[in-house]
Amino acid sequence: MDTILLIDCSDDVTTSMAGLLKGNHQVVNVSFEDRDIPGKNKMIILQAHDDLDAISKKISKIRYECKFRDIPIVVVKQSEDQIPLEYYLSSGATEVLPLDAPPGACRQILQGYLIPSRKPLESETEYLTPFIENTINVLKATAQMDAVFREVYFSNDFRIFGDISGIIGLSGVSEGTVAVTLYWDLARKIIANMMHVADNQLNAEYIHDGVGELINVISGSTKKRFKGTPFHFDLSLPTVVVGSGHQLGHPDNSSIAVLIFDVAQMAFVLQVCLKPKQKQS
Amino acid sequence: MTEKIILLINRDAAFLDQTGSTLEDAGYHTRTASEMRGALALLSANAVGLIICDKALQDVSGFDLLNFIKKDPLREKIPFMFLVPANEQGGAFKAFELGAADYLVYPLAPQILVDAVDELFATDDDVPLPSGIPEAHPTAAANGQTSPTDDPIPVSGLIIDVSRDGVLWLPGNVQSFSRQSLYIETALFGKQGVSLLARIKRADGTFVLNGYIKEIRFEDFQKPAIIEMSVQEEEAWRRIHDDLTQKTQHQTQEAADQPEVEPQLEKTIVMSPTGIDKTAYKTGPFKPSKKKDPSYDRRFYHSLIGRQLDNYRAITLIGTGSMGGVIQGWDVALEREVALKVISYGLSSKESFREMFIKEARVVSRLNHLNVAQIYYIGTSSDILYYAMEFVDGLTMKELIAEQGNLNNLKGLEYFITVCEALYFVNQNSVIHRDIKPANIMITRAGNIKIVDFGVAVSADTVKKTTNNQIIGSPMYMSPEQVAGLSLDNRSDIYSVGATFYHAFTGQPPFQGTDFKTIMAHHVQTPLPPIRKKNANVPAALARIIEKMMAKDPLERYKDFQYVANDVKALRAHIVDRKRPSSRQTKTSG
Amino acid sequence: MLFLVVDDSMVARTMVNNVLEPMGHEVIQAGNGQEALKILDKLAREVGVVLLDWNMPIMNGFEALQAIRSNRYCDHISILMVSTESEAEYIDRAMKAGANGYLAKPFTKDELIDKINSIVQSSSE
Ligand SMILES: Nc1ncnc2c1ncn2[C@@H]1O[C@H](COP(=O)(O)OP(=O)(O)OP(=O)(O)O)[C@@H](O)[C@H]1O
Ligand SMILES: [Mg+2]
Repeated sequence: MDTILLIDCSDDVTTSMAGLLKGNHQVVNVSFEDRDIPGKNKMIILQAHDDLDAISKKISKIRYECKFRDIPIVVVKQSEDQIPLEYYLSSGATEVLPLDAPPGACRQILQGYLIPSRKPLESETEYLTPFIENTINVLKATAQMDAVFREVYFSNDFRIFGDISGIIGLSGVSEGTVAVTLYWDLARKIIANMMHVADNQLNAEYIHDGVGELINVISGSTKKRFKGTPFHFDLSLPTVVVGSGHQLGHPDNSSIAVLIFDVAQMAFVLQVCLKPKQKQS
Repeated sequence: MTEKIILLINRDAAFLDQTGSTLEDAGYHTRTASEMRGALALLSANAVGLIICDKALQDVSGFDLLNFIKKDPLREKIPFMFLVPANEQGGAFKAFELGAADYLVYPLAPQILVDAVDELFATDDDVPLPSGIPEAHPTAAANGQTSPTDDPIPVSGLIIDVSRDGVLWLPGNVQSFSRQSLYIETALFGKQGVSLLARIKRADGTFVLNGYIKEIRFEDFQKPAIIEMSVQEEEAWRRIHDDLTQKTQHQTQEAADQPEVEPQLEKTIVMSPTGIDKTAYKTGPFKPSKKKDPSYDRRFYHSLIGRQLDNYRAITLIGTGSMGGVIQGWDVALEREVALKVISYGLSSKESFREMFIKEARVVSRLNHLNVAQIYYIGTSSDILYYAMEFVDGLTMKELIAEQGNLNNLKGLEYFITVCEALYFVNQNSVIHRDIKPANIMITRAGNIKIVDFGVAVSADTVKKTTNNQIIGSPMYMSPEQVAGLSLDNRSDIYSVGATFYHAFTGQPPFQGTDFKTIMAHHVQTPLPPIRKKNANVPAALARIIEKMMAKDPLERYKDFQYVANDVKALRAHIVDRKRPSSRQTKTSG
Repeated sequence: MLFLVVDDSMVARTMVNNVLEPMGHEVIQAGNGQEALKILDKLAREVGVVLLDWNMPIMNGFEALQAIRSNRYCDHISILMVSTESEAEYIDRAMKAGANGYLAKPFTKDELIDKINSIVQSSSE
């Protein structure tokens, strides 16, 4: 049975959540300090409280511990809490439900997030495989590191969680966005290796610059694999973004593939949103 | 800058050694070069905060180097200190002309050098830290151009978008602005000198301003930085600038009038260094119109994206309506595209609706017509009620009208005929659509009509009466008997098709109003506004057909869609005939 | 030999720099084509090899390549394009415009060293 981890939830919230989830799952309530590894849980539900800063830090912390896995973090907040959803979402929450939300809606939303992820379509695999292979190649060639592709999930929200991201807009036969997102330690390690220097010799400016170059090389080397296909694109100049929770504009009606890689006991993601202008036949 | 590196350039190795160690002792990092090429190499590899350069170098003159650097947008801002021999102080004036910050005469006492450097960096430190609201623009101050109107004016809650390439936009929180510059707090990291676009959404439109990053300041490399964007002098910017100035004055006035707003509190929020997201939540005249939280229904449909319901992979949310959301899906068993209509939680939680819905969908799934989007499957997965239907790759008539203004042309007539014929077939099979409207008529890329959302309205209707006046669907195309809650037959669909094409041919729905109730009342009581008053180009015969379809009394309408189709076909033949050049002389236009 | 490394990424430039220097070469860096041309205005005679990225702001590598090739004071300079743009038609265009070699990003340190050695060798012949 799947576990749903409730963190810092009052008895009332625990009872109502257990009721909504209809007993198909094991519901465990713990305090923030006693939480266990998020990877084992299907969903994490956190009750918000008055200290906004603390709650935002807790969400970010849990999000970080999820190592980019598709584990929904649902924040339950007081009905009179006027803080916009965006505040919690930008800290890393997946969804925010006020206590006075219609139970029917809450049940369906929770049910929705508990449905297992889908596999990629054949057409998606066709364009994701080159991205996966090239990401691994680039890290091997430039940073002498062995990255391993772990999994992919799909989202229709292009949001980045991590310390630093390199983002590049794509235009041409296909349109979209590609972004690489890393936590600080891994970014530092990769860039130091790329430059053939020790990581303590790097200042942050190099890391910013290097992450831009990283996404540039990943997308540039992938682009040529698409020559003559509906997935071909042209590159714009990379943009580097610091901090997490930014929602990136993206073309409507698109799905974003979140590719998770493991390297040096850490993880990073490559998000790919690619839409051929001409539909494939 | 992270650390201040001083670049010393001189031909004389002994001088470099000596001066270098003087400065290192005073706590500065130094790098040295004896010629231009070495200097440029060091400049590109280091974050240099000050250049101290001799008049003559090994390869070129110091003026050449100064000149070169001052023309480089990435480096022009690095202060340049010139060294001239005591007997050649004339050179110093030339150096100032070229933009040097200071000059020193040698032989040079170590203390004088250190003092001069300290002073230079001290003025630099006066520049407010990123979290603060920038005061006067440092360069303007240095050039002595400061006038009261040039001082950046602080603003709060003015959120714009910034982009490097015009493709990817990120939010920026404007902290202050002057005539030349916008000071923006943003997570988008740039480099000095690179071009930048700022997009400002206002009531009178969206404006994109061109500029470049003049300066970038940050306290913490992991947090958003403050970018000074030098904005190109453009008409749009002038207008926005003046307007902002006015509003800000107003704001200060207002703040003075409202003592209950605690200024200190306001300020800490504004200056929160992490806070481009958080600052948006405070009040002020620039407060972005509070974005409404997405509805629970929308959030529910979103939760399904990237998941698999039964045999269907949910790819992306196409749109939402009053009864549900439509998701583009993939059928893994039959390997084809589908559209999944997920029923809203409000309806699906009603047992009576569920039963009715499934029963109706079963009937509709038996309809087999080229112009009817087929229903493939009805199901519940994890308590989620949905059906899978034929995926229509194209636009709705609603979008088409929005795109083209109206469809008063031959193509529009074709659509009209096709819809009537398709509905004749459907009504013959004892199914009434009940929710015909432009959003439920789709046109494929190949130009074929597909009517969607069949029969579903029937079940929705039954619930409608029980849910306190929550109307399902748009009332703009509802027949009077539907409004009155009477029992319906095919003539209700005839009315709705009439209303739909009234809209298509004129570009406007038959009745307008601010709320459901008014529009519904119009359908029952108000005489139909003549079509040709709304669009004089609609042929009179066509107007008559639609007006007949929309008679208040079902008995005065066409008996069935076959009659409508016949009349429209005759009209089309007439128009086509008239358009033929040979017949133009013989027939007069009616 | 003196190398001019042109790339808008500081990291990319340093990466090349840190390979070239231990090989006994000297390196000057530039962040875009325009900067590179300005440097060549002063130092054309000293520079032996230019390494050019393709996508850069202000002036891209291809434009810089054309400008360098139309400058007779730069005839002796070997130009190596180093870019993520590595489709055949890009390589073709660059070679036709007078590039002496093309190195696609990403490359390993050894690939860079090999390429540099062969460029240096042919340019000293
Ligand atoms: N079979 C389909 N194939 C492709 N897209 C569809 C299909 N059905 C609907 N859509 C798209 O989904 C959007 C939403 O449809 P939906 O039926 O939910 O809303 P609606 O028609 O505006 O309102 P209502 O709920 O009253 O029918 C439509 O505007 C259309 O663009
Ligand atoms: Mg519909």
